[in-house]
Amino acid sequence: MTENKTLAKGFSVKEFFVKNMVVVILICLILGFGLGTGGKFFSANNLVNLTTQMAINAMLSAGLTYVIILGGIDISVGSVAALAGVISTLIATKFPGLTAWSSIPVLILPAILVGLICGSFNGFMISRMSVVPMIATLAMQTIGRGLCFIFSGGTAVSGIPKPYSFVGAGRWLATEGNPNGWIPNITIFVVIAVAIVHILLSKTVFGRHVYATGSNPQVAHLAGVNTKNTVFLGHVICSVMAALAGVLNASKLCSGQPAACDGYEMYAIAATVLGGTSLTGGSGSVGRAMFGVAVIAVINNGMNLMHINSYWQKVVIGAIILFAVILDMAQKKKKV
Amino acid sequence: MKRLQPYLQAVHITKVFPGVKALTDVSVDFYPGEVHALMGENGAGKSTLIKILSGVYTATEGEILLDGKQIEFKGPRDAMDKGISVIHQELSIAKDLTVAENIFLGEEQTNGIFLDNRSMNARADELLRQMKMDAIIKSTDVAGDLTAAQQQMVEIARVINKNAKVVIMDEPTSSLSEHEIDALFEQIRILRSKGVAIAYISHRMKEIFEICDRATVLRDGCFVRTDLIKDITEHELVASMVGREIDDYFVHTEHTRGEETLRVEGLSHGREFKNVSFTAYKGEILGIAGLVGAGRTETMETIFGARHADSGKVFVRGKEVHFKSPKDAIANKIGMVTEDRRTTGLMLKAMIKDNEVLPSLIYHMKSLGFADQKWIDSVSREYVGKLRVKTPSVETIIGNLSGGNQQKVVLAKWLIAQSEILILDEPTRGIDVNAKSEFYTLMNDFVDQGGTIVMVSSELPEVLGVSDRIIVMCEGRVTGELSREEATEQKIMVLASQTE
Repeated sequence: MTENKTLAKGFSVKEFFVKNMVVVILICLILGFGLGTGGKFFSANNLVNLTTQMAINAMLSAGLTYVIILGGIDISVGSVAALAGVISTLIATKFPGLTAWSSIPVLILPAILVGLICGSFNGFMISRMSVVPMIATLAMQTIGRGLCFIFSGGTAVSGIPKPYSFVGAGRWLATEGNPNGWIPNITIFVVIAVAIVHILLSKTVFGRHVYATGSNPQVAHLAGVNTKNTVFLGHVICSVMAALAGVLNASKLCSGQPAACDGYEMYAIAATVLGGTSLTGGSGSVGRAMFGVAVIAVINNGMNLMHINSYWQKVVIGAIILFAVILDMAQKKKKV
Repeated sequence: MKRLQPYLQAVHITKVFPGVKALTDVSVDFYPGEVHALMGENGAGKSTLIKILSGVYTATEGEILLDGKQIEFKGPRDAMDKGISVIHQELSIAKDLTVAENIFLGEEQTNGIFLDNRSMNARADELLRQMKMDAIIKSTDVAGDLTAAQQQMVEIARVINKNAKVVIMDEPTSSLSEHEIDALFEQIRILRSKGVAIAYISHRMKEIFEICDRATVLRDGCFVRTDLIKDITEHELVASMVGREIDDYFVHTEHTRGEETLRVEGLSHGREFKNVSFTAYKGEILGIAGLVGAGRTETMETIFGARHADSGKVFVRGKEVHFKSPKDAIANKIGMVTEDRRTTGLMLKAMIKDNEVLPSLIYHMKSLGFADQKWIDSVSREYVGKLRVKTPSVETIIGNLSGGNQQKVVLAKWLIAQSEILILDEPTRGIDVNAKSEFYTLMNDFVDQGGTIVMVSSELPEVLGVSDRIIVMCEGRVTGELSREEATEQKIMVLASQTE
């Protein structure tokens, strides 16, 4: 055992590749699409667009990472996002004089409220009523989607003042070559939000308790960790991030669609797993999930640039997820 | 021994669960700097007492005194804060966290709102250095990569870090090798010299006499006796645990050996076992002795079809067989009681009856593949009765039974499958004295009715007490065969350590 351990501590190229598979995949994809599109992929404009295309999934995956590390799952994030988008746009229609800056509370406050309510529902059902996460969040998914259609009257919310799109579609630093601006507000927003949840998970006592609870709830409980509250809060964070993603999406499109973000939970789960978060709980990180988000965004973006049928994008993403998970399993098997 | 004030005292404790009185008027004192053995069969009330002392349960009657003052624990966390730590039988380690993260779990150090990993790692390394473990375990190692023994050392470091005044150890050696037990005892002696009171629970007599200063025996929830270890013999301890004098709990009856039933010739697989040959006969118990890691389990699993040999032959009732999987072995009326019943012997979350009939189900199908519920109910009840499994019904979830009763169900499973050859791998591991004795009786009954038993056991008294004939293995080879008459502990040990 001791010998094996010292051996394992030495640097191994193979181990590096296996551990950082998502980074390797990302680099390969970027180089591949760079060549495949004759450099179009690397244009500054495309790279900036890429960050806006990653935004929604980045928010969803960052929140979902908490839940998956806790050993659970949340398939309601798409519905929660849509619900927040519908409610926020409905409020915006009540303020015809909305300005760019005053649109921010109209986005954030309803999002936090929706996130707190939906996350508390999931968290309560799972941590206090012992409902299996898949079922509790399946219920939330269906309820949330139903509420979207009830509140919006079944159609897209109309009559939203234009400044509502400031956060989702606005940009800074306009130049002659790029009159829209270089730095998207949505990217700034997402970077800050993701950084906060990343630090909360990796640097604080609460974050440490998330890992411990996901790794072994009995052990954590016996060590004095309040595992029920940890699970509850993990779900609240996940839903708040999802609701924020939903209002960003509504702002980006300047529209409150009751059917928005349908199926986005699958992309978020895929990104989180690609980033190396174990579906059995206990390990993973928000930062790494972002690499998974990037992989999915790069595939979609690159294939669009190459004019490949968008149905193929789904096939390719599915194959890459499978590949990443099989590698992950192989690595785990070796350990045992 | 210094005569000090006891640090932790249980005074006239009674604990009643709905329908069961788990403890009746039990009083025990734990002195600082003393290792105090808590003994008793499974179900004697040791676990309940520990749970009351560590704040998991509250006593129905009686009180807990800490340093002479009456105290009530609000929960395990509260007891821990007051200096009482438990090292559980199952390791309490979060495998995905690092060593330092585990040591500080629940009491992380921070700079403001952020974790102070640097000082936690430094403190963890310092603790490991004090334990002389720093060459093997580092604060940043992932706990899941460590061996079971090393993980236990991390638990001990956690206890030291908490400045625990009382450490309760619940069968801490159950998954350790001989060598690792020595290392654990070293740490226990260090704790003792620092004045920590240690409650030590184990079924292994040898350990009690090696490490403990005092022993308290419980039986059926009642206090039996407390003695200094130097004033009591092993025989007296066992007698007070089971409540009757037992001269020899290894029940041995004379068997009459019949024809050959299982013959193995030159079985080899890689480095695990080489050229293993032996023959087992009807009406006999063949013991397979050796040290842990001698390749005995691997050999047995190969005979049972769970692994595949590189070369060699297996004959069952004189005919050569080639088992592709355990299914073929079961069809040939071979059963195997595996080494670890919790992971490979039982479906812990299933009912007793479903565990009992699993291998036989395909032989009792009705048309269209429906299970024969009537047969399942009647046969499972019949065998629970025959083997005297203590359970309210056959619908009880098996994980809720005691180890001894679980093991009886494993045996029932193979009896229902009408096995004629039984391979038993460490059949009485982790079960108490009385249950062991009952299990040996069941083994004898099986052999008397014409069965064959091949029993792997690492406990020498067991091998000597139960077997009709003994084969000894070392490093994957058969190093000798002894008859019941000629076998002694010493002869077996010589053969078991006969390296090439």
